[in-house]
Amino acid sequence: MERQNKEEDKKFDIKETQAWKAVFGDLLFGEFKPLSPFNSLMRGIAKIMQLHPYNMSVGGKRIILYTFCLGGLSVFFFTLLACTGAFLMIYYNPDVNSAYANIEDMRYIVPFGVLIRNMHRWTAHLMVLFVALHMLRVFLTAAYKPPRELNWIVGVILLVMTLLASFTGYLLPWDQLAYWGVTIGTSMGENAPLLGAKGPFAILEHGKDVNSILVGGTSVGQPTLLRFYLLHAIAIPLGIAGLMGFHFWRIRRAGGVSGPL
Amino acid sequence: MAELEKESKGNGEVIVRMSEKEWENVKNINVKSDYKEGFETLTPKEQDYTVKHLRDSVGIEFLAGLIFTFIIMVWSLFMNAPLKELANPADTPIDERAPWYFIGLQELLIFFDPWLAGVVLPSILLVGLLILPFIDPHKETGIGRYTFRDRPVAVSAFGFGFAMWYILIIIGQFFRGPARMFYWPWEDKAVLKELPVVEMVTFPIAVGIAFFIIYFGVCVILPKYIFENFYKTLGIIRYYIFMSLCAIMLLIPIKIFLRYVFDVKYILSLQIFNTILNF
Repeated sequence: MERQNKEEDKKFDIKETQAWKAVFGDLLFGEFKPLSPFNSLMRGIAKIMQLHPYNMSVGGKRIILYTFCLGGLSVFFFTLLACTGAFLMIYYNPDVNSAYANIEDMRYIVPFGVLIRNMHRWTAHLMVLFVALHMLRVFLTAAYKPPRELNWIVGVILLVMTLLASFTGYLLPWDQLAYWGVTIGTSMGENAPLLGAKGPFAILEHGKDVNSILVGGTSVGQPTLLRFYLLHAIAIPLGIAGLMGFHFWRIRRAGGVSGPL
Repeated sequence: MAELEKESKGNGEVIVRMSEKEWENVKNINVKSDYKEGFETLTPKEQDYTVKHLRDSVGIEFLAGLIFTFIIMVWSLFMNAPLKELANPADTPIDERAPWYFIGLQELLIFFDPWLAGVVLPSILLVGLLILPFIDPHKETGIGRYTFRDRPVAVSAFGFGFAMWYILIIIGQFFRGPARMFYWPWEDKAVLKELPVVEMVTFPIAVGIAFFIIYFGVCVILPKYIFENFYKTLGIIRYYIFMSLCAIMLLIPIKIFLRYVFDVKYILSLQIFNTILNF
């Protein structure tokens, strides 16, 4: 037995080479080393953010194959969107006469403007996708069951808010795509039963129905742009951030993610 | 963790099971005053708890964030976000479409009236999602692992709805050309298709009402007698809510099928006072 072990030791193992260790070594997959700068950084982040328990008891398999980081990445995308969005706000004015020109300036004049705008747009798509995938993951692992029901409800609200955040941002460039996309979207409100002007059993007139609250008039125009801008840049992000905090706090209260434990 | 709590002595001490080697790794780092030294030696099978912590959670998330930052940067460098010409309320584009995550609803607009497709069906979907933890009768089955065998009904129902939502999005996004006509990927979307001149059928009121009574009878009431155990585990209220939601969900592909195969415009067209309700 001992001889066999020794022979196995001599075999070439890529994980033992210096190159492998330099890239993947202690930082990620190697032996747990408490004093590595990476670990202490991560521990610091975790301590400050309180996102994860300080100690986690994890069963045989890796937690990455359980959550696939979908929720974490959604948070990350939200942060990235907040940063790029703050940058875009500097150059954007929610006025139908100048909004389109602002976007064109961003594309052709503002340094890195096109890159930041592209990042904002693509990250928004990714966030919508990942939030939905996160919901699928949570369902498949039955993480909505007690004691996590409330967190599921908060999560559904967060999903709706993510969709609304993306939808309100869709109008801001004020191009044909935005205008008609939002016209279709908001026209749904017109058809609401009772509360919409065109819906069944309408009790409210055109221009005074539930749709006009969102659009700020009878059709998409300057009031709509301002409303969507305020919703997109202030109300919805604040709501999402607040609910996210609650979402994470509930996860901690429930004893961390639902598994594998 | 549950197993660990069982071992707790109730005086604030927590006993964590781990192998001796792991203890050596952990004791100087993570274990603060709350944790007292001394682990219980257990049978080898039970010693499979490891205390990995941040490397498996924050570290991986950090890495995932880095990877996606890179992906987004590269994507943004090589692909510009769409920007068409200035908005013109007078010029309706022939291919007007909602953003992709709402295109499933726009797809439903082809088959249902706007008040159903845009308001009622999404509301039902949302309510269904919100009350989902309370409809599920098995409060402990399958928590913390991916399993189909232990909860086949829940996973099938949810999977069906989720898949339908995304199939509708894919069809709406990639298979629809001008005027929301269906285009195969190999067909040129620049070529305008003529609207098919087919006289659509609307069932007479009696047939429509009969259809819905039979449909909901088959979908909601019949399973009660076939799957008695299922009915008993759910209980009467949960059962009716769950089966109604499933029946409504199944109605969407049924309507699409009826539209394409039998050119059915409405299954039921009711006039109540001066409002016409079309289903």
